[in-house]
Amino acid sequence: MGKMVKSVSYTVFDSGTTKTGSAEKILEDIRRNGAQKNEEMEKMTVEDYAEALIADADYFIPKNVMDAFKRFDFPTKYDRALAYLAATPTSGVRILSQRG
Amino acid sequence: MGDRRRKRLSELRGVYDKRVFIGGSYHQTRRSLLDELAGAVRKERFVPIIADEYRMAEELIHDQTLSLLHSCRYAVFEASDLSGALMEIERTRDYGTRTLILFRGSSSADWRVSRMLSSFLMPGDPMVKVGRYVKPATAAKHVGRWLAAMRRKLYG
Repeated sequence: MGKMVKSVSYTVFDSGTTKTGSAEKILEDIRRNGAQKNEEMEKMTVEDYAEALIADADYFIPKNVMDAFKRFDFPTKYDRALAYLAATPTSGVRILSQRG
Repeated sequence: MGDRRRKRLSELRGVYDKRVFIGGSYHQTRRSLLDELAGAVRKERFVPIIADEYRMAEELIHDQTLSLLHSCRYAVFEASDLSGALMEIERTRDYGTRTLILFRGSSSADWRVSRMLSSFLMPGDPMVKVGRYVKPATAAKHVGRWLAAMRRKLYG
């Protein structure tokens, strides 16, 4: 039997609005909004977007913060990607609360 | 980088037409991004110039960095974060430097710049181009494409 993945629900502030849902749902919403102005985001799936946020985080998040993040387990790659996006100073995305 | 490994300003490599000034945040995290952009510049057979690779007295950083900028026909700025690069961007118009400004748009948020900078970037200005990216590899591609276009303009 596969390992049960813990489901986490977030409330996130993004560009003047709040969004609530799973990390995957919120990332897809952010990606879709961003895609209206950004061809690169338009071509990505939500999975590509999450993987890019994780792969390139070292460029945008201070090293000491990244070292701390890497010690934590996240239920899914979407949860990790959302945490990284919220820790990127210029993203405008902030996690207000999380449950689960 | 230790001061002994830094280059002397008098040993500036390349010629004016081939030099590309690379500006942005020199903070440890973002500095690696400038190296990526420098790699893209080299790939197009131009010469990247990054100010913090040169020996400068603390009190002369402003003047000498602008002197480096003036020695380059082209400039690429990674301007996602507010940094000293804004002072350099301001000067590009005075120096006639062809400029590419890149910023990371990784969310639905717009580029958070002051209205001063927004109004500096006039639509259709042939001297300044703005590019948005998500992945650093895409920023490097922007640089490659832009320099290839600049070369075509220069040599027909």
